[in-house]
Amino acid sequence: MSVIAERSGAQSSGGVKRRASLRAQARFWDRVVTGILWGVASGVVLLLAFIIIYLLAKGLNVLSWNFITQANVLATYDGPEVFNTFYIIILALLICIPFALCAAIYLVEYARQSRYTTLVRFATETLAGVPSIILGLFGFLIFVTNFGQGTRLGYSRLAGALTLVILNLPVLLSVFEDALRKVPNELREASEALGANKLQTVGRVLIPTAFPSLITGVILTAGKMIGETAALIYTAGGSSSVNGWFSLNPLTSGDTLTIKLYTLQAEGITPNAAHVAAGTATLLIVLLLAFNLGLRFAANYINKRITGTGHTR
Amino acid sequence: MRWRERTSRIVFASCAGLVVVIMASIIIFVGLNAFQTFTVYHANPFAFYFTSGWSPDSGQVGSLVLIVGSVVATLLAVLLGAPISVGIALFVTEVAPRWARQFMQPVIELLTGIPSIIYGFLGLVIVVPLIAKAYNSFMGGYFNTGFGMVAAAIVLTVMILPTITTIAIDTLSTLPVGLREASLALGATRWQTIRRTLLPAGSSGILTGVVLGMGRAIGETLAVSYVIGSNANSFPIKLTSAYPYVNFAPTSTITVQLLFDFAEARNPSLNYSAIWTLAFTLLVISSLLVAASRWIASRSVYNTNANARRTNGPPGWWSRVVAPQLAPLLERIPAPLAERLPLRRADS
Repeated sequence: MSVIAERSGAQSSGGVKRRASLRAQARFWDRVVTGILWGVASGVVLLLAFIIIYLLAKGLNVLSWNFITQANVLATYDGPEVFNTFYIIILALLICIPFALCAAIYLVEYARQSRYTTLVRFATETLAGVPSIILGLFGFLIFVTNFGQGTRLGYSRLAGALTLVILNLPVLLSVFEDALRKVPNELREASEALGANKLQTVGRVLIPTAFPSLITGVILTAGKMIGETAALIYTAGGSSSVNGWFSLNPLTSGDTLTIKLYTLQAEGITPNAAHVAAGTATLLIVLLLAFNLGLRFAANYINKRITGTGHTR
Repeated sequence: MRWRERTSRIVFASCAGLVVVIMASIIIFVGLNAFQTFTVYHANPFAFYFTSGWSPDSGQVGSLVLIVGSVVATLLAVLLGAPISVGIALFVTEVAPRWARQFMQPVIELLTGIPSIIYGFLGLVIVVPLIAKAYNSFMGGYFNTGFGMVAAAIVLTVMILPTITTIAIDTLSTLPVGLREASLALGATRWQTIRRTLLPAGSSGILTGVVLGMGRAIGETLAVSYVIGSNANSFPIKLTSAYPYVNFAPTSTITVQLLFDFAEARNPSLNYSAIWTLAFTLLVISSLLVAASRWIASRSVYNTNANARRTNGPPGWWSRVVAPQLAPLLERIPAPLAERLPLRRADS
């Protein structure tokens, strides 16, 4: 007590003043930084708004029913590209989901921490970091050609989808892993107490419980696939045939919306390419907005249907 | 029933193994093609990496411009992008009222979701003409097209914002509440709390995000290819004058040259092999960045990062093989600097 008294006694009113001015300074800087942070955040919001509004303003007048559904020789319509985008995404997801789900189940439910799981995790993280252009070239090597010579699948939707599988397997795997890990342990214990074995627990308890999160992960991945270009340019091919595009044959070549946007700029054989490019870019952003809104809606809906409440997740 | 259990276990385990097989075959096949540049075509590895002059059609494979281009683009993007990203993260976690926080989340998600080709397209129709206009009206005299490193850096900055922001938000929001409360209880303002407590405590998590952002920037292809002008023989920076400055002329990066040259390369040729060598180089760089991010995350004091949470500590190969080699180097970092770097666990 006496020490404090001495000190404050020794410090005359000048010390008090100095402390007060330090506090004022600190408050001042606090306000400045708060202002800067508000500014940065609103800048980002404005940037996003600008991107969306700019694209809509530039290309909305290009969009028409014909533009979205028809094909023509001059490639001024996007029908094949819309079809191929969804075709390749669905094909890739159909291949990717089983593998990713099984691998996630293994990592969460079966494996103990071992050299094998370390290796799997290390490979997953490294694969997630590989640039997509390298995966595109790898897909060309393995799927399109026979190690660089001749033809295996050729430029095809299947080769494109398989490359997308490689690109998205690590993402989907870690999303699924997180989803399964979030399932409370009590459910596992309860299921096993009822006499269910591991496989039954996984199939009847874990997957249904984690289903909303699993679906969210799938839709997120699909949204990523819509925008993928670099991995597809050398695997899915740069063009669609005018007459043969509307088929389910996975071995025909087909460009997606993003590849079309690329070829429009790189090759420029289409008349008024800038016009078509603006329309294609707008179509892409509209699709993505729809996907994002759909994701929120679907997640809420499934959550309500399955859990009955809507507040778990 | 037993055999079903056993088969299902094997099936699940082999699905997990698929990832390992894929990663191994990427390294093996890209690597096999890459080394042909040196084994079949007898290019000098030193000349490949340390000389400029990229024209593989005529047997000239010096990739220095491309490597410098990739590195400079990445560094510029991180220098511009990291402060903004951390600012957004601080806004979301510390400053924003509830409504603003809920508003920012979909904004960041949407920015993540915009495809790189759209960023490239916007860069081409907005950023490039803007740079050309600014350059020509301020500098005058010399006609500039706007294509080049500056445009690439700006586009990349926007592209890595969501990556760094997401991880920084993740880190800051999982810091123990006690840290914040303790600092505020000592009478610190919000900014003092951020600067003296939260940023140091979250530094390794934020740094993880920055390194992952670098990984994204260096691997980015389409957006950069739209705006950089792809001149593989013009350096993006000049070091010869009193201070380094960024060149406004068109230049190129590894990824852009991979994209453009691969279409024209015939299979057995130096051109083809040289492209694979570039690809392998990029693969090694990006793997090193992933490893670096894992390492930084594993050094985190508060283990806040999602990656660190999953494995609890550095991977075995790291602590056995690499860490002992690095330990003597780390000892030599001066103490005042070492305290500011997330290099050591608090308990060690």
